[in-house]
Amino acid sequence: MYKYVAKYFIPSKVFKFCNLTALPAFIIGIIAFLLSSNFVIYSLPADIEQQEIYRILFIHVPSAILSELIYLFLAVNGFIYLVWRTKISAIFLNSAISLGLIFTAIVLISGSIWGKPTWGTYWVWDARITSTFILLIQYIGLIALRSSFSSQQTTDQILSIVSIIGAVNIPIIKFSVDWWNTLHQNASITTSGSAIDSEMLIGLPLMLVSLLLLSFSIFARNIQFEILTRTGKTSAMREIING
Amino acid sequence: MIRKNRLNKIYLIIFFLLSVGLITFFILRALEKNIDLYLTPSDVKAADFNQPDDFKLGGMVKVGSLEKLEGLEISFIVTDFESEMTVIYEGVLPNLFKENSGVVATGSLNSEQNQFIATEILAKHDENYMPVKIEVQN
Amino acid sequence: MDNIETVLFTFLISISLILILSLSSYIRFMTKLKNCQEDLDD
Repeated sequence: MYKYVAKYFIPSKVFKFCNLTALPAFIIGIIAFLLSSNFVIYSLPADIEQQEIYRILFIHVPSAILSELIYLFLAVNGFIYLVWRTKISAIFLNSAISLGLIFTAIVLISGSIWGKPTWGTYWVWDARITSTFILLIQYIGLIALRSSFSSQQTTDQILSIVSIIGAVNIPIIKFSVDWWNTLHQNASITTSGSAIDSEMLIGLPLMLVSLLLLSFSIFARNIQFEILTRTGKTSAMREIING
Repeated sequence: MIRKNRLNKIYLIIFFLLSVGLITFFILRALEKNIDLYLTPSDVKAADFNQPDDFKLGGMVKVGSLEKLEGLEISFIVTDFESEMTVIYEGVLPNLFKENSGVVATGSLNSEQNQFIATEILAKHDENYMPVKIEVQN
Repeated sequence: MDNIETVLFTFLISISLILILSLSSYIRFMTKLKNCQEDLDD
């Protein structure tokens, strides 16, 4: 299996793929974001309880999903890197950290703005909010670690280990609303269905796809940067840059 | 398929992750008091309840229990459908505060231990979202 | 602030954060690419 997967992940091929897709993903992403934002803010009906303010959900929830998925992505790549020593996993890991940080920041900011008019407070140290805040610190920690070691290999190994350990926080964030009495409400979308009316629900995948496209364009540029940083030999560099 | 030293490494990482998970579990158990949890009226009414300091009381506002006292002062009953507790509060209320809706109040019990004097009221909303239109149709 | 304005404001902050990251990633990559090309030309 390794043989079949590995041939698609040669740095020069990945670089070329990213070079081709980064700009289109960005342009489509921006257009999709503007259209779906317009749709969820002006076209969808208001909520019975929360009126207009509930629309923050459409940026809050997709960002929350992404901030957690990106962390799992880091941990999985860290795991693959530690076991198989595949350089590309380390490149993926390094390229996704800043994205995760931004989405975690968006979750906390949008949640805070949402909390004031609905709950009556910007911030409480409830289990969901505290564990998400810890996720933010984990991302900041990873970014700090990235520039703390002189050797690239040591950095990659440390980042892998730290991101694997930190993955323990992800189930805690997910289940915090079930395990403890929190001010934060329970999950709306569970295996038994959605507590968000189907008419409104459509906004979520739209926003999620737009954010995914924008994330991919950033991710691709970061990958290209990491590949260039890690390529030493002139011949290899020539092959990457000139295609 | 997978070479032996790689397999060993996988076992090592899984073992490591499980240990970290277990440690985190016990740390969380120990720190539980420091996260902003709320107590239900049943917790407060329980025989072994002993908390003179401020704490948080959470539950549903009982239908028909919300009363205006003098000025901005209000009183209502918080219920968890097993026990009830009367809450007295004076101040600004969040928009979503209403009867038959979730609430988390910060404060302390009065000297007779039968009323909860709140200093802050937060509304806890549920996970349901319904368009306004449906209500109009009914 | 009006509710719908608050929502707009939140969306605006979010997209600005994403755009800032996007721009900084792009600049970081282009600078690196330029340096590498100069090294190759030498």
